[in-house]
Amino acid sequence: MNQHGSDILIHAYLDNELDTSSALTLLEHASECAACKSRIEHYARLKNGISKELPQYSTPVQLRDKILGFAQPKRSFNWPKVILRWGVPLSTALALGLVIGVMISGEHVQHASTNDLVWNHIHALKSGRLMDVASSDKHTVKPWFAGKTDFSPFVVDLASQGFPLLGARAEYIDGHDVAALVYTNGKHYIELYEWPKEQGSSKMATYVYRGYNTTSFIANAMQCIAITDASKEEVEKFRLALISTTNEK
Amino acid sequence: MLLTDAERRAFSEFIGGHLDAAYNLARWIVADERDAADVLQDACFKAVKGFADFRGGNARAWLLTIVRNTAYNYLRDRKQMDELPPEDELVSLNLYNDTPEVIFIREASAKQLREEIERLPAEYREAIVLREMEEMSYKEIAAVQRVPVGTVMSRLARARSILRERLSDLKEAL
Repeated sequence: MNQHGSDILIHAYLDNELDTSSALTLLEHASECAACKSRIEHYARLKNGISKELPQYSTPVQLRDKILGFAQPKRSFNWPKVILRWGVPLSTALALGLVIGVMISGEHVQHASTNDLVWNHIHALKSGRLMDVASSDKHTVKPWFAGKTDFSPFVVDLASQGFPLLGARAEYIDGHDVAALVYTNGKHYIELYEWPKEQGSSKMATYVYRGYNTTSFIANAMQCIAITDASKEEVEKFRLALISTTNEK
Repeated sequence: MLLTDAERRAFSEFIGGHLDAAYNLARWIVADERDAADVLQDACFKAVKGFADFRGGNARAWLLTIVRNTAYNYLRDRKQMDELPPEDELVSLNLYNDTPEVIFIREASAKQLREEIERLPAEYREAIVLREMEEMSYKEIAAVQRVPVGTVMSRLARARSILRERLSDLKEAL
């Protein structure tokens, strides 16, 4: 081999990614070429130094506990989850005439559950990354979703009703694109999650999870779920304001 | 979709085994302890959500992909992403114009080595971490970084040549 081994070849050799015959050709060349030999040795030393000296960071104990904690099976009874899981049998039971005071629709929720969205909301707040696009202009926010979600969410400005639009972010939850629009109400955030309504999408339901008021409803052919730490009354006002704008069209 | 208790248990076991690799990668990409914790939590949160959709394959690569994507979003949000030269430029890179004589020779300590690696563009740094610490093959790194194997090779070559230039004479004993 007359040609110098390229750096790529040398690295592949040192990383054991070179086939035997190419490796032999390289070594044969290096035995006669001081420059290549020195390169190989140099990079071998560098590699050795890196693998020996780079600190391998291990997960802080508290963080590990926290993460494994939320992955653990829940011991306590998680009512919304129970309702979602047993929703279908329950609605059958209802059809049989059993009177059960459950407010939530018995239909199976196809997409993310409201609890998951509450967690998503909490997480967005905690990480300080509530919005990827910050604008009160619906003509900025709506087009922003092009190419980010596999649908175009409906975006309305509800400033005149007391819920100014702040911005939005795109989420990918449970294998589906979800648009997350952020509104405010005084000092509270109201997050509106939207995705195209599908057969069997949940009907209107309202409940509280981890102190957050949630309401899910259908508007403009979208499954909507609003989540906020504002009061139940405010979230209901928000829902009505939103629905009224879609009716105007 | 919610995870069943059995799925949660499976997830917990699965993630427990790869948590340090995930944290280490996040820590190296974002180069900050607190940011790494945020990234890891966020990534694990996404992983829990996506776990039901995960259908076998290389579990560690799957998790590390989520971690690195989360980490890059994090850097992008903070405008801390380094611009990389176009990849084709790297492949044809001819690094043959420097000879051992012209290389600036100095002794490098472990600390210097770490600092120089931290100064690399994040994607180069990531390739180095996946290769040298996680001992992943080029193919596995390509899967995690979602780039062709050739790009992985040029990233590693570029990263090492930068390091080589900056820390020319690593002592054997280092």
